[in-house]
Amino acid sequence: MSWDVLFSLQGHGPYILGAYGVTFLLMAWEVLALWRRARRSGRRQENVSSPARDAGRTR
Amino acid sequence: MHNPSTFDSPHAAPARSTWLRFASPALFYPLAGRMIPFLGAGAALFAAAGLYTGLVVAPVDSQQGEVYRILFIHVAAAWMSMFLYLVMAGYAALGLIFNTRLSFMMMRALAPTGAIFTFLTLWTGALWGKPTWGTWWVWDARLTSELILLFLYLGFMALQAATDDTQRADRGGAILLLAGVVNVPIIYFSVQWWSTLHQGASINLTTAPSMARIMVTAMLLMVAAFWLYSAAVALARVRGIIAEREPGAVQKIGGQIGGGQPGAPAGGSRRGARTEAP
Repeated sequence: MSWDVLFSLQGHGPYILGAYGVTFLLMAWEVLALWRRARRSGRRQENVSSPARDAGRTR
Repeated sequence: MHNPSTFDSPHAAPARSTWLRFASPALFYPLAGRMIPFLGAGAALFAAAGLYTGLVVAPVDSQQGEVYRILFIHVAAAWMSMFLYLVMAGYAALGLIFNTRLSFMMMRALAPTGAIFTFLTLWTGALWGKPTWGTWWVWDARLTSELILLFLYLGFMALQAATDDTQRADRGGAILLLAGVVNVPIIYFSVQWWSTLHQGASINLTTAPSMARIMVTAMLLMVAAFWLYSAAVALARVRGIIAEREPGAVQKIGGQIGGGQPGAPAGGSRRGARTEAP
């Protein structure tokens, strides 16, 4: 199967690429959301575990 | 909520229960952090192999042409939508019977991923239905029961978000999940029990698959990729839930890794917490 055929897909390209595209977009969104949440949570833990250092930083 | 007896001494579990001790959120948190990269890498590898096999190697279907290639994600997503629901129901039962906090946390962590796969099943099904059936949607038994599964996932997530009382939310959600389990066999057997527009199963345990071997291979590779992905994101999410519900447990592990006193807000604790971030 050539790359041209892969993207034209006998006129069914929009259906197939729409299905695969939305699938991988949603999965990427979920991973990104979890990564951002983990970063926020890590930062919160750092602040909780070193309050003296953070207090100094705000001054 | 915070139960000091369980995680204040995470290394005091008896040797007889090597695996059971990971039911403690404090011990499960770092284990989950170590597993996520392997599961994620496995998911990426299987997805790459599945996509290559399904989109490049597998031949064109003699009846449907190229559009049949939606099958490789549609079937994998459909299997995961039902499988994740059953796993959630299993955790719900464990949580209700043994009152294990981690079971409820896992139940909650799996829900968004299950909902995503259920939505994707309906979405990819609609995109496959239009060129083959001539319609995006029919009120067919298989499609309708899968839509009910999506509502069950969304209802569970709404129930969890409706109250700040996590114990009540967990118990209410668990009961909803167990009541909804009846829908899973209805989805699976709907194509046998009723006359539906949706085709019957191409693969089952008792007979040879009705598809070419290369197509079955591509489909199973995508199922493995979705399974590993689900495990990785559920573990990442449960770590967030543990950190949210039992921050003491996470700080304690951080403190012990950093060499500080258990629970002490020392620099070691900070270093440990950073080490565990995925």
